[in-house]
Amino acid sequence: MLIKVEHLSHAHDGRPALHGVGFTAQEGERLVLLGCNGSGKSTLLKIIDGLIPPDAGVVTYDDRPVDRAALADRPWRLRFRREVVLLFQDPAAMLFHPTVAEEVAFGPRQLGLDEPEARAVAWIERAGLAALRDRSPHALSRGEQQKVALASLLVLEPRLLLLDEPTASLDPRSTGWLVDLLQDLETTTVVATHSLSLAPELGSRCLVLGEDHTLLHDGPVPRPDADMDLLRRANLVHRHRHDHDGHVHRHDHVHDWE
Amino acid sequence: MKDRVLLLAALVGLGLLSSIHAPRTLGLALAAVLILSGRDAPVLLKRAACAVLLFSGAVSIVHAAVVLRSGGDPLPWLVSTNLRVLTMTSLTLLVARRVDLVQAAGCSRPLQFVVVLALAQIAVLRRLVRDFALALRSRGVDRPGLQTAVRYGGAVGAALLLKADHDATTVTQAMTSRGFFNDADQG
Repeated sequence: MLIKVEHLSHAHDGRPALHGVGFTAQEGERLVLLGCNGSGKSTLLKIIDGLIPPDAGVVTYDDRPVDRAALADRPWRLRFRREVVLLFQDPAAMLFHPTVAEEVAFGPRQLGLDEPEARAVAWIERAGLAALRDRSPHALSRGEQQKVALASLLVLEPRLLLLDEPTASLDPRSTGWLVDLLQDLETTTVVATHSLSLAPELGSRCLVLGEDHTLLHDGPVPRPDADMDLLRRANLVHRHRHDHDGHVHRHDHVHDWE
Repeated sequence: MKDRVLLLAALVGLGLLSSIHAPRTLGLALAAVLILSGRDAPVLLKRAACAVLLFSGAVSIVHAAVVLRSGGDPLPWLVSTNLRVLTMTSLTLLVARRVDLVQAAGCSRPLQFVVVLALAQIAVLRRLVRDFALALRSRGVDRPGLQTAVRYGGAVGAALLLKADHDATTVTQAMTSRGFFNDADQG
């Protein structure tokens, strides 16, 4: 078992973000974390990445709890940072180098991998960033920044890839590129999204966080025809006026408005 | 290299300016900065004046009131202090415009990261202020009244502080996540 999350609860400034969340993930599994805005997806990913200590509960990575003691153990922390990576919702938060090439080479160099520059060149090519390699990451479009941030993580060849709303700022072509890329990877992935239509492409197993910050579902990706109750409870469907050949009525919709 | 030399020269200049008190010398220094600015001089001077107006204005008024009350002449201090502040601000704005700070900080990787992050944050906050201004403009045809202007100013200030605080937290988390504090070279 690669990760085990048990009874996780957390609050931000007294406002609940997660309540009693628990699940496990095996090596190579592709999980989708579905939930509406504010359901706790980002918080959960940050706790798994050891960035926020939970108020209660335990995250175990490769049989060791991700806690203060583990993160203070330098060799373990070095291994953890190499193997577990998080793509932030706002990719700009991850970029702090003057050029794309240096940004992508940072991780391997910082975490002591061999030939950081060669690794970076390979991933810059694979991400289609060759023409941008000497540009400042902050001068790029949001979609390009997303690619740079992702290349900066994948260059480490991580075991666990955590992605926070990775398609939220991408155009359709870039979304297609990302989905293809994730499907080609053999890495364990946990992808947070509120896009129900993309969920089946991003993973085979789905965790649904509810508005009450509990885990409502752990299983196959919910289907609108069979799981409408669950989708309504998780605030993943929207009901609005609709025009069918001049006949105006209201019903639930699951398509995305990203 | 050129950027580093220019930055060092500007830092030395700022140090010297802080120790000059003669209004004539300070006036010459301001003239020199404006000459170095070339065609940008009017814009630069206007920006520097706007940047210091509120703070320098408040300090000057309070100082003048205190000195006048005790029967003294506040003019020499007011002229030299305001000239010095204006010259130093103009020089700083000139440096920000002419020097590639990222290149200038290239001698130290951590310093370069800090400069890149600071410049990125400035760009983000500037965009936020511009969006606020555009949003305000899009919601009316007349200049806002005093009450609206005060509320708007407060909202912009609060939004900038919250955004800066939130971004600083997220950037630190992102750097931690990417092993920034696990420097293998230093291990």
